[in-house]
Amino acid sequence: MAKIRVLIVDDEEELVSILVERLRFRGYEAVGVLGGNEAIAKALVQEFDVAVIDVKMPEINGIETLRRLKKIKPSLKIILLTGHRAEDEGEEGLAEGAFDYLIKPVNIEDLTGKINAALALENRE
Amino acid sequence: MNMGSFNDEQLAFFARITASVTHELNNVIAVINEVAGLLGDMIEDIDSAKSVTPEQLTKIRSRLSTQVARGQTIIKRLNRFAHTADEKTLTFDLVAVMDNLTGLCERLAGMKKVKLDFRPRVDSLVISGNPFFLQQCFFEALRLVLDSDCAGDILTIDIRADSNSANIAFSGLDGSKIEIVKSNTHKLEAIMEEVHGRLQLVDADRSLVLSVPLTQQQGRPPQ
Repeated sequence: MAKIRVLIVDDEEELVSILVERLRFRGYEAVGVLGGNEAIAKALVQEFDVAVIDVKMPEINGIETLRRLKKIKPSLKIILLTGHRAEDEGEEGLAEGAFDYLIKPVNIEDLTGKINAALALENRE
Repeated sequence: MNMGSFNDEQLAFFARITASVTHELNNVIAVINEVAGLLGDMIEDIDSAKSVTPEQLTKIRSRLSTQVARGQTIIKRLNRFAHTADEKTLTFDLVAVMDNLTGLCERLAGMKKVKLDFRPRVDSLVISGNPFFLQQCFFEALRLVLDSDCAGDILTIDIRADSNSANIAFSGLDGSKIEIVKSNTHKLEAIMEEVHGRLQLVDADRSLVLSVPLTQQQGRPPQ
């Protein structure tokens, strides 16, 4: 069975590095990048099933990254990461086509649960 | 606390600093949370008869220590900042106060892809006045510069003194002009008036300078 391909996008380098490590430990094919522009460049050359994107990032924020990724990869499932009391941003992301959002710090089981749910929904569609 | 009540602008400034800093602290906690999770993954690995190497554990310890130190620095800065609102008038070291505030503003600047380079011309500059109001001036000036159309990614902040005043200069990003929108300067000019200071663009618009008297700078009375 093919591994689920996940792109992690966050400007917090250490967080990206560990999330990638932990997802790989769980059998996912995970890749990390440190910003929206890098995420778009990566998505143009590599296929992903799910992107996990932090909302608060320099240059282009998570919502704008979502919009641009959806334009070039409409089938890509996107899960947003927001800070505390930032549910509005999560809701805005949902309106823009995100599958769901999680509030940082995230529990890895919650994250993998969302990733799997996003793809299960795709398989049903 | 002998500061009196804050007005809306002062509260907004306090809130912006606090929101930015707590967001950064949340990132520190998020990383620590993931490191703890990674340790849990390793323990699970031991259960499945794989071994954890001393190098892996050393890396975990290093990652934790780094984040703890980062968190401590942020908390120390925020604490120092909060205490500058304790008294209406103080004798204080302007360099130390602005160095601390620059540290607190790093994330805000980073969100604009700008790095703050704090380079005072003096080691310390003791002045008498209201450190909270002066930080509000600094913050509004920084926002003006960050919102300008300057190219580049390094903003130099310099502090120097002449016979009567202390000067805080924000130098053009990579030597470029600071294209400040004049209609946006009213708020800062009003606050500068409160501290009997002035705002000017110098060096062919390559620097924005805040000048305040070395003494008798009382700031806005409590409301």
